[in-house]
Amino acid sequence: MSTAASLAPSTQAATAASLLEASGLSKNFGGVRAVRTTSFTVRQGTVLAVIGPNGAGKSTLINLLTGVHAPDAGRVVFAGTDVTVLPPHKRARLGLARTFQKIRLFRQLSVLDNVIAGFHIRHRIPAWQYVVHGSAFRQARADTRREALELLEFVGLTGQSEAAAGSLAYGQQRMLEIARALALQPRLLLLDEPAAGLNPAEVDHLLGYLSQLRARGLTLLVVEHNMELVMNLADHILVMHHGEPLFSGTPAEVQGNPAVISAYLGEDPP
Amino acid sequence: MSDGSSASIAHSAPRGPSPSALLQAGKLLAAVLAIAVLPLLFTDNYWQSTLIVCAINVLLALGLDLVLGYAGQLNLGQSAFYGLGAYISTLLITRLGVPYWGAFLLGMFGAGLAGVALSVFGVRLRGHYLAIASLGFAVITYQILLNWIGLTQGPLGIYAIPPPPPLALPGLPVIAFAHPANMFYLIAGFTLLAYLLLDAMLRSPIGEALTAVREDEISAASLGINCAAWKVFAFGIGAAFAGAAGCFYASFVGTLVPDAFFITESFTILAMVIVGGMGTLIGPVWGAILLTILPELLRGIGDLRLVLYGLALTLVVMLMPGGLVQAAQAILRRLGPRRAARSSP
Amino acid sequence: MIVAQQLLNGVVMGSLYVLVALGLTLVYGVLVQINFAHADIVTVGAFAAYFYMHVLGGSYLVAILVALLVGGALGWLINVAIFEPLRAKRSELLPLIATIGVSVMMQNGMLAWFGPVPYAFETQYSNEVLKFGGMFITWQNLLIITVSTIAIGLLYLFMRFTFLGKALRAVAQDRDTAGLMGINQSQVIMLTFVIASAFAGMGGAMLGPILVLTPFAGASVIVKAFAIVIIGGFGNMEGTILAGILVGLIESFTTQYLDPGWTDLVVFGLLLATLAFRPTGLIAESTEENV
Repeated sequence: MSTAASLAPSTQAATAASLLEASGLSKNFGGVRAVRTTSFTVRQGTVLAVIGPNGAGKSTLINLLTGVHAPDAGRVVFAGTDVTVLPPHKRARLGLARTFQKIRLFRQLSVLDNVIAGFHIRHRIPAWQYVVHGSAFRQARADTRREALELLEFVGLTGQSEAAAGSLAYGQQRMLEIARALALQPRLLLLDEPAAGLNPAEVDHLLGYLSQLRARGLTLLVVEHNMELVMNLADHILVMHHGEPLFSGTPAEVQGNPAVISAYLGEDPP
Repeated sequence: MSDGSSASIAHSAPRGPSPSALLQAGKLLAAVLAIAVLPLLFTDNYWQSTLIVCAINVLLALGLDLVLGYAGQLNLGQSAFYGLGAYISTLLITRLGVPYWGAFLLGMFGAGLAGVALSVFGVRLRGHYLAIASLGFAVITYQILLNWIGLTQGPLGIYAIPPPPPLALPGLPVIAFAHPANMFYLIAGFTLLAYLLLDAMLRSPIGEALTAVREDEISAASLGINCAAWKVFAFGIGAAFAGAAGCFYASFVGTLVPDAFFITESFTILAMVIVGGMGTLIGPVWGAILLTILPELLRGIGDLRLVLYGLALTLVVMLMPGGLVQAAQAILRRLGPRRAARSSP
Repeated sequence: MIVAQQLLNGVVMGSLYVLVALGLTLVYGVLVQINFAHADIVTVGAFAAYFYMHVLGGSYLVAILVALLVGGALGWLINVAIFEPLRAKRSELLPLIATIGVSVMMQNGMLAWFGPVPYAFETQYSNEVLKFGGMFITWQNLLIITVSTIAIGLLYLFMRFTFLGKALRAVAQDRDTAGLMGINQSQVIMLTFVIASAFAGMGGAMLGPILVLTPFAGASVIVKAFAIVIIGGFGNMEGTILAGILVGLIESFTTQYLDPGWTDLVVFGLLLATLAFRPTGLIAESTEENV
C-alpha cells in the first residue's frame, strides 16, 4: 500500500534507539512553575502517552518539545540533535510533527489544500520554476496532489477534499489535522489531546488509525485524558503531576500504582 | 481573545479548481489588448495622464496586496517605499548622472531593502503593533524627505526630472517616453509583467507558504514553514513594487516633492486593495482602477475624492470584506448556479 | 531658568497628550482594538469648542464641556456603527481598517467643510501670562494642567474605586470570565468608548488654542499618542500617564535644543526603539499562552 511507503520504516521496538530525549526541562510562567525538572525518553517505534490531572503541565511540555516556548532549563534532543533552542519550524524539518489541542487548521482553505500545505518542505522544485512553471513543477504538483489524496483516504476524508476545512465536523477536523501532520513524513508525531471533544465512536476510529500508524513503525507521543485510548495504545506511560513526573511505566504498572490513583483523586500520595 | 493570527480577515479567493489554461490565456490576451487600445481611445493629454496614474496605482496596490492579502500583514508603510523609490532613483539621475534604468533598478532595490529592514524589525510584532510601527516608519521617512533639505531640497522639490531615455529598437521608430501614450505602455507593460510574475509565484508553493502564514502562523511553523522569512520576503517584494512605482512617478511627473508621499498615500493604497478584494490578485487591480477613474468621472468632486475613498473603505469592510471580487462572485452565483465557481459557504 | 521653563512646557503638552492617549489605551485594554479615528475626535472636539465660542458666543470653560460631550457622542456612534457589528467576526485587523476609513472620511470631510486655512482659536486665557519664579506660563497652559490633572485624577479614582471602573478593568483582563460574573460586556465597552472619546474631545478643546486649528490638528497629535501608548504599554493606565509626560518633555527639549521639525522624528524613533527592545506585551510569543 503506497501510504505505508510514506511513513517511517519499522524498527525493532526492544532494541530501539531513543528518538526523543528530554532532560531536566523546566518552565516558569510568571511565577507559576508549569514544568519542573522533567526528563524522559521516547524510543523509536514506540508510543509514549503522557497523562495527568489538569494543570499537570502536559501542554506546556508539548510546547517545550516542539519549540513554541523556550525552556528555562534543560535540554531536548531529537534524533541525536540538540534542538533545545531551535524554533518550531526547524524542528518540523527534522521530522517532528504535531497536532494541537485547539485544532488549528487553515479553516478557509480546502481540506485538500490543508494537507498539501504539509508537503511544503518536501518540495524538490527548482526555484526558477516557481516563476515559470515548467515540467518539473507540474510533475511535483501532480505527485503532491496524489499523495495528499492518499493521506485523506487513510483518514477517511476523501469525499470532502474540496470542502472548506472549517466546515467539517469536529471529529473530522481532528483527523484532517493528523493527515496534515503526516504529510511531513515525520519521524515522531506529537498529539495534544487528540481525543478531546470526540464521542466514543470517534475515539474508536482514532484509536484504530493511531494503532495503524504505530504498526507501521511511526513513533508517537500522545498527551491524553482518555484512558481507554491511552491504555490500548501506549507502550509506555508517563504520569505528570504538578509539573513533574510522578511515575512512569507500562500501562499495567500505571493502573495499579497507588500514587497515580491518589493524584487523580486529589489526595496526597501515601 | 485574539490568537494573534490574521486568519479571520475575510477573503474570498475562489475555492474551485484552478482555471483552465485556455481561460488564463484569454484573460491575458484581453489585458494586453486593453492596454494597447486605451491610449488610442483616449487621446487627450488629461486622460492619458489619468491612465498613467492608474497604472502606477495598480502597481502600488499589487505590492500591498502581496503583504496584506497574502501574507496577512497590515503594512501602512507603502507610502515610504513609494517615496524612497522616487527619491533614490531621481537623486541618482540628477546628482550622480546614473543612467535611467540603472537608477530605476537601484531605486527599486533600495525600496525593497527598506521593506526588508522594516519587516525584520516587525516580524515578531502582533498585527496592531506592526501596523503602527509601519505607520511610524512612513512618518519618519516623510519627515526625513521633508527636512533633509541638503539632500532632497525638502518642500522646494526637485525639478526637471527627465523621462526614461528614448528606446531605439531595431527596425522600429524610436520610442520617446516624453509622449504620454508611450509612457503608459511602458508602465502598464511593467505592471502587467509584475502581475504575471506574482500570479505564477502565488500559484506555486510560495503562495501556499504565504497563505499558511496568513491563516495561522503557529500551525504553519509546525509544518516547517519559516513564517518570519516569508513575511520578510513579502515585505521586500511589496516594497520593491512600490519603489518601482515611485521611480515611474518621478519620471512621469517631472517634479518631486515630499508631499506626494505623505502617509495619506498609504491609506489610499489600502483602500484600493480592500475595495478591490484583498486575498485575490485581480481584486486590487480593479480596486486601483475604480478608485483612480471614479473621482475623475465625478469631476465636481475634487476635495471629496478622499472622503469617497474613506467611505468606500469603511463600507466595504463592514458590508462586503471581500471587496469587488466578492461582489462579482455573488452576482455570478445569482446569475447561473451552474456557472459559478464551486465556492465554500 | 530655561530648563525649568522647558520642563513646564513639557508637562503642559504632556498632560494634553496623556488625555488623548488615555482614550486609546482604555479602548485597547477593553477591546484589544485600536480606534484609528481617535485623532479625528480630537479635531472635532477642537472645532466644536471653537464654534461654540466664536459663533455661539459661549464661554471657554463651557466650550470644553461641549467638546467633551461631542466627543463622547462620537465615541458612542463609532462603537455602535463599527465595533459592535464587527465583534462577531473576531478579526484582529478588520476593525482597524474600518476605522482608518472613518478617519479618512472625517479628516477630509472636515477639510471640505472647514477648508485648509487655520482657524484662529483664541480664548481670553491665551494671551495673559502669569509670571512666577522666573518662568512664564499663560493662563491657558495653567488651565490645561489643571483640567487635565482633575480629569485624569477623576478617571483614576473611577477605575480604582467604583464598581463600573472595576468592571472595566475586569473586562480588560479577561473578557470571558468577566462575562461569566455577570458583567455586561457590551455596556462596559460602550462606556469605555464614551469615556475615551470624551477625553479626546476635551483634549481637542484645550489643544485648539495652542496648535494650529485645521482639520489635521488631531492627526498631528495622534502620532505621538500612539507612541505614548506603546511606550507606556497598551492598556496600562499608569504607564500611559508617565509616558505622556515623558513625550511632552522630550518634545519640549527637542524643540528648544534641536529643530522643531525633528520632534516627530525623535518621538517616533523612541517608539520604534521601544518596539525593538521592550518586548512585554508587544511580541506575540511572549504572551506565553499555551497553544
